[in-house]
Amino acid sequence: MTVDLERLADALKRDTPEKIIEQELEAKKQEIAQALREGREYVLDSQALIIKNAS
Amino acid sequence: MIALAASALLGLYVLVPVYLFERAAQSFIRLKRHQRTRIEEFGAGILVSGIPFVATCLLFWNRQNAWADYKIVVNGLYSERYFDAHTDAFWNSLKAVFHHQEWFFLWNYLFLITEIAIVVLCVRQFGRLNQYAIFKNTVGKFLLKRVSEWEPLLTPFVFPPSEKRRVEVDVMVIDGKLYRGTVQEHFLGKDGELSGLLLKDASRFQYSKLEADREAKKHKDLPEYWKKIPGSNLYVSFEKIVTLNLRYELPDDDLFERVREKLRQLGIRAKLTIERPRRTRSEE
Repeated sequence: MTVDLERLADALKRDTPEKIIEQELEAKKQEIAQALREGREYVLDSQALIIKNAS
Repeated sequence: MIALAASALLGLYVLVPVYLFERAAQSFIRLKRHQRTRIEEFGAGILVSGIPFVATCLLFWNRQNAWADYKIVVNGLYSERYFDAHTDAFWNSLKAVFHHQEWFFLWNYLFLITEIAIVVLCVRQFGRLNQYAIFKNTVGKFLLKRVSEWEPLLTPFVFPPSEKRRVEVDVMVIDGKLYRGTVQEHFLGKDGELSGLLLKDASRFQYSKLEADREAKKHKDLPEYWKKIPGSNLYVSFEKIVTLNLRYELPDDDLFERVREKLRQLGIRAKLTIERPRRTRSEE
């Protein structure tokens, strides 16, 4: 088995957990803003990150 | 006699440097142990020992008087008749050659140590340096050809060391059990194949409990089904592994900062907390 390590290294760096979270935040931007407007907290399920109202 | 001298020189200037280089590099990175042909091995050996050797030759190039001594010694070793006719000159030149070789040897090994230090630095800082195109297309390419494919997968090798990432893994084994933990160490067989993983802070997913709860219509969050395995380390043999799911996670504080920054960019003013999945208490 021959692995192209250059491509593997690039792929590993591309899909890091924090980048996936950032994409998730962008995709759910409206949903998060809506939850905060309604005074609810928003849990980013997969990462257990809880976004609460700043006030 | 000349064969004996050539063997000694080959050992001192090729075999020992290659051995030292491989040993030093192995302490920081796993090198490929298979897929290398004899020609590739030979090429790598020449490159490793050749760089300090050529540097030393250049340093000693202008010491022309030494060449005459080398010539006498080589002739004396090659021909008995020459040796008999020039015995005194031979011994005088041999003494000069030994003296010259002491310095040559010293400088050669100093250059070798420098070469090893540069390579170790490149290996340790690979993730950081590989962000620069000039490194990526030269040293980076060369290093990636030599490194075991398990190194980028099971260590944070491709990430800058300052990020202090840890490798988190979910391992499915042949009996259907799922384990999770931080990769502490990985072990390779003699041909470079993975033989096992050592995990720390390992947990086991309780499928049977999940199924029982589902039948009883009890709803619990999935993290509730992770049960911590007592003891600090868990060894999983590669023969039993079916799949590996790998993640290269930042320390919580850094992740927190990244997410906070992203929220700021998105124009969301909010408080943020990270709640790690709860794990049930250790098995008795």
